[in-house]
Amino acid sequence: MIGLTQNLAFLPFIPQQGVSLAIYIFGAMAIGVIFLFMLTKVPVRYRKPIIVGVTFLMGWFYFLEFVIPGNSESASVRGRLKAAEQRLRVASHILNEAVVRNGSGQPAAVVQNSHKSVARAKEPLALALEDLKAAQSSIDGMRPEVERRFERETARLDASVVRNRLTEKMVERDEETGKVLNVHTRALKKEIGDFEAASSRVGTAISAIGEAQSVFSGAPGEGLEKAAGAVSGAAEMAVDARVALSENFLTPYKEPIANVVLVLGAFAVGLGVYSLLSIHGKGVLNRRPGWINGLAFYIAFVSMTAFGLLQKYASADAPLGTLSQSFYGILFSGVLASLQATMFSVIAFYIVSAAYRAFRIKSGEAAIMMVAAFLVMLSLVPFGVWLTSWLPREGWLAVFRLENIGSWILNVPNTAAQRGMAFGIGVGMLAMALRIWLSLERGSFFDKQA
Amino acid sequence: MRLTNIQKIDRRIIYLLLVVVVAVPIIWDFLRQPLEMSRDVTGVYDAVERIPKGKIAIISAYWSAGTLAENRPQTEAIMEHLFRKDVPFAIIPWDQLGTTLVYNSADKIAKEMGKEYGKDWISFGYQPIVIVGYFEQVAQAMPLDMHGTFKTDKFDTPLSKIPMMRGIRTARDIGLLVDVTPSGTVQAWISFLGQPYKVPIAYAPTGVMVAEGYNYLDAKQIVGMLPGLIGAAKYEMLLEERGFALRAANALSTSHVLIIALIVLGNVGYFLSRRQRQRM
Amino acid sequence: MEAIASFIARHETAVTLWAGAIATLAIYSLLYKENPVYRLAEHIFIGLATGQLVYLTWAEVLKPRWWDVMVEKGQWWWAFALPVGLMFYFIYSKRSAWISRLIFGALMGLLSGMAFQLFANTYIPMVRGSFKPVIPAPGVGIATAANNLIFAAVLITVMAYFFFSVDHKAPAMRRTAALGRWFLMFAFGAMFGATVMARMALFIGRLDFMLRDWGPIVPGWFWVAAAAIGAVALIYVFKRPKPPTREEGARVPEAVQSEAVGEGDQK
Repeated sequence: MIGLTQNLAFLPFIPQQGVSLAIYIFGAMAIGVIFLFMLTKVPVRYRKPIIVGVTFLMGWFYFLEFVIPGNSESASVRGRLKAAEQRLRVASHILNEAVVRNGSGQPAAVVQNSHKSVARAKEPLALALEDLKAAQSSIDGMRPEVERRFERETARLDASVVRNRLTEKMVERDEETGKVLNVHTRALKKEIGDFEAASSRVGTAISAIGEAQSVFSGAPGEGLEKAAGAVSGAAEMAVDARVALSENFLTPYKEPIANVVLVLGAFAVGLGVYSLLSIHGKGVLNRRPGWINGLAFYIAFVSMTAFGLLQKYASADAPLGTLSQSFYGILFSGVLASLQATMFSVIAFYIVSAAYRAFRIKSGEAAIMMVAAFLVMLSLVPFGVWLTSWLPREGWLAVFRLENIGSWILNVPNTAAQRGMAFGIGVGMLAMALRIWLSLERGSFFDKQA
Repeated sequence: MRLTNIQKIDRRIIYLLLVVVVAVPIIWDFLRQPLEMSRDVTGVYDAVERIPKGKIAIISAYWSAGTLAENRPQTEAIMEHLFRKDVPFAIIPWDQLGTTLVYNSADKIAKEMGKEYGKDWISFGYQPIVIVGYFEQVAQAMPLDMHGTFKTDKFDTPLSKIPMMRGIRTARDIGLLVDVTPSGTVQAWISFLGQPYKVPIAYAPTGVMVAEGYNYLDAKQIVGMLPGLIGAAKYEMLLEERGFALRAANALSTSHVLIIALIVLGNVGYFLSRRQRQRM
Repeated sequence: MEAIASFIARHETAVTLWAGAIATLAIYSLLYKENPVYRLAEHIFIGLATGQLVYLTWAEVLKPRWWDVMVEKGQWWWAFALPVGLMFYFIYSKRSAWISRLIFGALMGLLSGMAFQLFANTYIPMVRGSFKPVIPAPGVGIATAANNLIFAAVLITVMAYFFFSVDHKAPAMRRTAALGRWFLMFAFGAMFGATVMARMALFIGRLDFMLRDWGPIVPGWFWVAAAAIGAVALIYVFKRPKPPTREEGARVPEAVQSEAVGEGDQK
């Protein structure tokens, strides 16, 4: 499952310390800067193809991670589990039908019908049991191999820790076994955990089927509902077990990629900050009209950054620490949060005024929209509940209680219309993603000549 | 004043009306009509009740001060319920303001209920949403390994050193994900956590996203939803704890009545003036 | 220093509440008209938010996830991140701006690759959930079946409206799509209603803060003075002759209003 990981694990990424760490860091940065310098020298005609190529290449990662199935053995186990789940669903459907029909007041039919149902459910149950047992045995068969690999890899890492004289601070250890973890061993450990979970879930499913079968061997009827529940529980377990086995060789890299993107993206935060600082800085230096506002921006920016950092890093017992904690609290809760909350709440005034001015019944559609809006608005609030609280809660008149009308609008026509729109949006989203992936998207960013 | 002028009231008078209409029920809590419980809200409540022992809840706090009035009561109500049920939870803060706000909320409730940071709840560090695609990447990576994805908590403690997170690593250890958001983030949680790993997802959107949320609810992609502030109010009712959301429900009533009255007034004026023009 | 620290710590709550009240009033002054106080508050907001962003990005992202890992754990290869992160800044260079597009392209590429999983996991369950029983049967009551029938009708007509919006020549198609537009109005009405609730909630939140949190700590004379000033201001506003510039002042928020309508209608 982890072929690629094994290859990458041999790359010479060994942690350093002391002077050699400094040399390595500066070396890496120097290589990076040289790389950047080389990029500036790339001839214009190659620039666009490079961008297109990198975008295209990156798009493959999550796509392949999604479509490639795990290795062939776990794929076959998943196939078996899927088959078992379908058979269990069939059986549970048959049993449930019997329960419902008998429950609706036909006591004479109980025994006869339930016997028939049990007879019909027995076959899929037996087949599912077979599948589950086979799946469990192959899961249990796969596990020792992975465990051996985990042992081998961690031993190799242990040796490397000793060889390179790494300190405890520099290695990550598994909290249970104390083994050294890296991308590779972490993935193996997860795989072992997945096998364990899958096996135990399949075991639960098998015992649930056993429970159902023991009901059949006695006098079915009363226990039928329980059996149906057990069977559908077993089906859920089969699904759960399948989930645990659905990963491929790319999956372990999702986490390092997220980490790298986080750090790179954090550097990009400076972009926005830089442009704000330069705009307001120029205004203040040249005393342009409104420069006072620019100055206020600077004071606010500097004090927030300073008090934020101080309240985290200065000792909480020292006066500086308590002082910056207080100031940070005042600036954050008092000023910053209040300002943003109020800015957004101004829209409340505009929406009232705009609805009053512009929401006119000029067509049939507008009339429907208005009626729906009024009903939903009233149904959401206590006043609406109070308006129709004189209607009975039960019986057909209850339909006219405002909260029921509102909930009907939201749950039936609204949901259906939302779904229709969602399908349209979904197709659009997919098309948009394809355009970005293949760099077909036009726009100021994409179209500019490199 | 001619009757057709009722569609031309000065906007400042309308603003003033709104202030009065909202202020009165805040000062004087007159109508104590209980809200009718609905399936969406009880879905969230039941999902919290059903979290098995040994699993944690994750609160994805995407909100900021801008939607504080809606999202904070939702978050606080769910946190309180989780504390009552002794379900440990971890907060993923996505917003630069929300990070501090949601931490302060949790800290306040935890202190009131005698709960301990690190044992009953934690907050991961700030996860900047400003980075293109980072939210989706976390939603993809988190189910595989929370320790690897988040590394440390807010105070730079490695997750493996935090009592609550010991042995809590993958999607199997997540009993419920609560997405408190003013945005369309739930789609990523559904696609990368809910559907593939069968983790129940509870959705607490702002009012703007509510109508859309019923689509996910109907397709059983989410287990429940708190529709805006009124969802939080209903949750407070279920918890039998009267907080801001229940207090605000009356002001919501009066403001909704005002806006309906104004729309009707505007249309009456519009019809009168149209008829006048037709006569001329 | 210690005395100052303890003094401020003692009065922190009161100062925070007063700061919040002043900030709130400064922003609401916009409702009367655009003014310097509002603009100052706006700039302070941007400054504070930027400061908060820088503080958090260093203290909760770069320090624990990059610097500490590199310097304390010795993982020197994270040093490559700095030059790669600098690629973003080439956006300011006229000649080498393409380097910033390279890294943006990489991020966009990663994101676009997820679209397939997003699509499959979002919409396949929705399609599956759309097949609901429309004939009453055991377990399916008459009311449920009727609702399901309505559901199906709305879904089909709305999809007809959306997907075949180019070619509406066939009359049956046209009528279906027109019906779809009518059904869509239910959804838009619901969205409008819920949006109104959302916006009102935000305002209620602020007023609740002013009346319930800040109000109680305000001394009585302040209210008297505020009421007097407010009354004078009101009289001044309504009694003074209307200068022509008032229309100018009113026009700015009007533009914002039409945007708000658009949002309410479409969103």
